[in-house]
Amino acid sequence: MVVFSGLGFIFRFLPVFLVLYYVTPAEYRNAILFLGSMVFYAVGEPHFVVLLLFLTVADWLIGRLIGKRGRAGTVWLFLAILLNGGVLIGCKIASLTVDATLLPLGLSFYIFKMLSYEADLYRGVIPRSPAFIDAAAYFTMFPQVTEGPIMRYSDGFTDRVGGELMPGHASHAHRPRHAVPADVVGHSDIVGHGRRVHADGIEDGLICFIIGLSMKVLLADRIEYLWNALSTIGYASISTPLAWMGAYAYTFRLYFDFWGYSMMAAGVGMMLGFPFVRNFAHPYASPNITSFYRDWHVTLGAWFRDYLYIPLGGSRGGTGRTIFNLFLVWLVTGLWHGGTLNYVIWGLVLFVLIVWEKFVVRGLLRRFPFLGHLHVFLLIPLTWVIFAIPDMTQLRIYFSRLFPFLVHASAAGMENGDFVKYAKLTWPLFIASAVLCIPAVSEWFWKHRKHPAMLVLLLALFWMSVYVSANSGSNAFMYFSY
Amino acid sequence: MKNRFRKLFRGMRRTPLVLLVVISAALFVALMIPGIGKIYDISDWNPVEEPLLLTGMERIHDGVWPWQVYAEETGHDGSGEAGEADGADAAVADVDGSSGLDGRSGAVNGSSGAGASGAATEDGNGVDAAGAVDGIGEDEQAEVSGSDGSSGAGGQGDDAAGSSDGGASGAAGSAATEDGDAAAAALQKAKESNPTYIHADHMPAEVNDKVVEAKDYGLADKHYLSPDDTVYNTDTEGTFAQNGDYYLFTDVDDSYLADALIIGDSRTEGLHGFTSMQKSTYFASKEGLSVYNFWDKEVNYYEPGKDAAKKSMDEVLAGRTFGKIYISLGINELGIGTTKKYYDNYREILAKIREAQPDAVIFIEGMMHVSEKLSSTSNVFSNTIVVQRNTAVATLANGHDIFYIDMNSVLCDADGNLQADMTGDGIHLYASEYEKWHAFLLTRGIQTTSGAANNGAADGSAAVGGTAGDGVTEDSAAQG
Repeated sequence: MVVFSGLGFIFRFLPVFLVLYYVTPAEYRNAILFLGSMVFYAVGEPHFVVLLLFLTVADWLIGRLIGKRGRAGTVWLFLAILLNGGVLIGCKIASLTVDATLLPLGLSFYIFKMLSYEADLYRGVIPRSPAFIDAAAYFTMFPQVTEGPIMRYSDGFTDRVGGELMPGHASHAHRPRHAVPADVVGHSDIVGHGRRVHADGIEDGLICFIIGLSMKVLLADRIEYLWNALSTIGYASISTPLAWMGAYAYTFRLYFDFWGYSMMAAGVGMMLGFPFVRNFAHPYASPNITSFYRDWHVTLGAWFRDYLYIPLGGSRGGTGRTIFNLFLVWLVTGLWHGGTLNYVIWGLVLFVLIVWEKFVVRGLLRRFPFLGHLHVFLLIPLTWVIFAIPDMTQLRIYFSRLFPFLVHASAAGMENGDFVKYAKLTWPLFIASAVLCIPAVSEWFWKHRKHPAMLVLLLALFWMSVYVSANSGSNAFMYFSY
Repeated sequence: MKNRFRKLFRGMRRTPLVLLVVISAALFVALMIPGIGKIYDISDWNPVEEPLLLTGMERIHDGVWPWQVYAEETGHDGSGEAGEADGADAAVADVDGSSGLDGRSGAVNGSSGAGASGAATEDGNGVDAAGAVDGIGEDEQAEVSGSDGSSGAGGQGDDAAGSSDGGASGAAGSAATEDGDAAAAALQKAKESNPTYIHADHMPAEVNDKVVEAKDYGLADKHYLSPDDTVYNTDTEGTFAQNGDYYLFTDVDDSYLADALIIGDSRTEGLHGFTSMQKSTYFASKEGLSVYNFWDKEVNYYEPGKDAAKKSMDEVLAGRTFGKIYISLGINELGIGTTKKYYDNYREILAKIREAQPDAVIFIEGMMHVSEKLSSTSNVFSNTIVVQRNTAVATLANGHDIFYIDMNSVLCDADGNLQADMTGDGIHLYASEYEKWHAFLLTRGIQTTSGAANNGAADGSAAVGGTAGDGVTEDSAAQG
């Protein structure tokens, strides 16, 4: 039920919750949202729901102390950082050293929301201490508790302090450029301005949900097949073309899985009256790696920028200081994704690439923009390979397949034409993935979303996804067909 | 109040997609309701966690649409039994067969029972492989068409098929008896000059591979196991019976495999894709193949050195005569049905293969174990289940034309787990390891003395044939 693409969520939890939510008067909706979210989370994590509840209460209490004192509450802010950071690091270490099940579902995401809540109270972005039920609903809200996006409290909660509508606190500071084009939401006046349930929001929310669902189920989960096939064959035995196909398959899988999930979460959020939270802004169309990461997992990048990079001084402290700040941000970003060595390498490789772009080839990239695009097209998939393979030996083998000429490796797999076989099986998925990476395509799609033909297409996508999901994801041992 | 409704209505006009989704979902569930208990088995349905839709979608995946319940009702009510046959896919064949194809499936089933027993009584020794096989293997299906006594058409079909069958095998039978004595003597002599031939009252232990055991991590889901005292094959007659003639394994080379057909799931696909066997032998394999979808799924049929052609297993078996048939199944259905159910389906498959390929030596390949990582964490991909199922199907080997071979003896560690450095996902071998499986097969050749291992006319036809015929009569009597 905690997986958005599962039928238990789509046909059980979500409709029941929405009806309850809509019939509840506006001033009690946060209570319903909090209760519903606890039920949702308890189904996925029957034990660690206690931890979520504890942190919710603790963070609200500390938040009150910070809220009262504002900038004078530095001690309490440190306490909040110590508590949340400690729990996050403790659980991560325990999951690596003792047992993988010791990492509670969604911990990295809700801890980051809690930290941003405390920091925003400290900085006065949240104008006054929220009531418990409001803060609790924000920390635990089910569309975001498992996989983000890391929404800010000011996006949809600040309007109803004391049950009154307040002029929204437009905190566009953390939004990346072109994050929310007006036509993507349809109601630009609502963006960043609190919450209002209305028919258009519900309809657009469902459209987002279906788009996300089909990207995840029909594209990401299927192209994952190729990536899984490579580890089954054994990296040592794959041909170089197949290794490259695998790198792109993983690249697309990760993108459409996460983008799809974020779209589903944002869609559910819109149905509840929240503004659209954009987590992906066509990263693969970015002109360089720096802006790729501004458009990739936007809410996480913005979090690191607002709560780590800028407090450290950002780029204002000279070249040396900037490079050090970037190093720290990317080291932490790597560790946030997972504790194994490959994530650290992944983060540091990105640090090196970004420094290289910013300080070494900056002029060149400006003169020849295609070089920057080339960075994105060629280097990003390679960084994802590092991200994907935790075992160092396996990772080395994979890179020796990608670049056999560098290590004088044998030409395994070439003679049986493995890549031809897999290309025949997966080419439509690659084409669809590539097309969806073009910003104009999804903008055109969104613009025409109310067209009757589009309605039929969306309905068809919905049922296809439900069909595929029913026969795979919901049934763990039928997921792979051997 | 009126105002609220007007507001709601106006709101709904702006949410056409929401309406479409809600209405289509409601329609789908409404369509499903008449089929509950018939084409939808909801005996272990958990309404809180699983929407009814899930069952509906899974059945569509099996090829059953909600409206098929109506076709069902106008036909006969065999559907009740179809619903009870719990092994998800196992029910499909029945349901499909009973909807609209009544006449045909009735006739086919009928002919095998009635026709074969006709042959047996007329002739006494005319073994009709087809008759024997159907009588034993298909009792479930025969039961369905028998109990409903559905239509005159079915009955007529019976008679027609029965008489022609009887005639044909009668003729063959008597032809066999005439020069049977001389041929039998010559054959016996030839057998005795074959060093791998043994004649014995009971099957010597070394004729088949021993089932390789594995460490039990105590995690296996009980739903997929059968009680330890379940009785499997004890046949004294028919396809799976021993007849006193046994053969021992011997080393062979690739030329031995030139007329072999290797059947299996994705693991066998790997054996084809990553070994030199693709140049020397025939394969019929498909990802996801199981004992439950064996006859329904289109498989990749590879002739030596050629690209895949999509065929049904029936077409593959009808396409040419194979000298040896290897079968490796089981991993996909570890989480479906019990061991007994698996065994029943496996047995039926072997019986049908024997019917289609009466002269082939059949090799039951014990399911390859999974890695320790998987077996010690999964309640489905558990070697405990694998070993129980291997043990069950191993009883089908008769030592003279059906053999059990177990590759785990060369692929597993001391605990019976698939060696960790041979597999990435715990289930499939790395591409570089498949040659070990190939090499193993070359140590498990069976050199029969010409015609001896098969049901050929000279194979002691009087004794075996007569009893097989009787067996069939008994079977059909029990069903009627």
